Amino acid sequence: MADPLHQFEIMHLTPQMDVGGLPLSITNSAAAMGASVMAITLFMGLGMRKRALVPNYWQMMVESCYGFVANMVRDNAGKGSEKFFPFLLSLFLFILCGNLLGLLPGSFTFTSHIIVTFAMAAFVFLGVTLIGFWVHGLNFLKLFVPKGVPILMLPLMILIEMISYLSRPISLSLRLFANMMAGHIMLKVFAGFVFGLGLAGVFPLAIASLLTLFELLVAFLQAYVFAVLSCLYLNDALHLH
Amino acid sequence: MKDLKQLKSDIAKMRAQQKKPPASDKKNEAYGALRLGSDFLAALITGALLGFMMDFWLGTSPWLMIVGLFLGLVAGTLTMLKQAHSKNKT
Repeated sequence: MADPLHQFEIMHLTPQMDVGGLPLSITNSAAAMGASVMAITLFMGLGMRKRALVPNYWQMMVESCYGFVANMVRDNAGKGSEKFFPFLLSLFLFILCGNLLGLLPGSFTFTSHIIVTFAMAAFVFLGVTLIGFWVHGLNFLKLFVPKGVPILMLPLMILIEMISYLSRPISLSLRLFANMMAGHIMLKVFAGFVFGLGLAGVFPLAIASLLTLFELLVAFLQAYVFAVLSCLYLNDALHLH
Repeated sequence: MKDLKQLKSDIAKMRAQQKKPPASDKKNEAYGALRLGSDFLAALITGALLGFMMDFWLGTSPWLMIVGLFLGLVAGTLTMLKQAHSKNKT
């Protein structure tokens, strides 16, 4: 019986080299991230090679990706947010490509590790907080004071607002990680049933194919949710509520 | 003149009708439910984690973690209420 958790193991593809005390090597997770970046670069680079005014199909796909994320950033992050568009575009495409590449049989989904999604969410959170302090100075702390609260309850409300602000990176990372890991575990469990049942293995095979379709939807949706929420947090930092 | 006025009122009516759908309702609903559940869970976990860290620092064995869990519960519920309220408005 195949083990559904074996797919998440980190395997070292090159021998480990000692870099400043840390044993580093190229793991399958790093290779998947590299493949994702290369796929995005090739997609956008080769698509925009001709730079025609009337686009061909490939260029139209690249332009619609760009336009989709640009609209999302402009709608959700408000006015001063055009500066942060390159970061949000890279974030969205990186997560999307990582999720999609994980659906190929035999490959590795790097977003199914909480440390990867937490690193990305922590970067977004720290970046947004620093941007908030940069733009508003110490006035940024006014974010934690909800309006219309009697003064006696203010310390408790500020504590609760801080907890809900600090819960943002955890919710961002947990959502992506849980969806990816659960989806892939389910796929492996049903795939494991196929060989055990012999001829009646057609049924788990059908369910596994339907699940793959569902995972395709979840891959797009989760990347979109991550990017939209990053834009919303940026909006909170740039324009205090 | 009357034709122009009619045209203006027609345009205003069509514009009012166009502003109604917020931004593909189905997409909003789909990820709204996802956000509500995971934000609540995350606030709970954050509260418990913060309480646990304060416990570690001050040495008061499980009490601060329980207080943190409770505060996280309140924070999560407030977050969910705020999100649901803002979605109903727009």
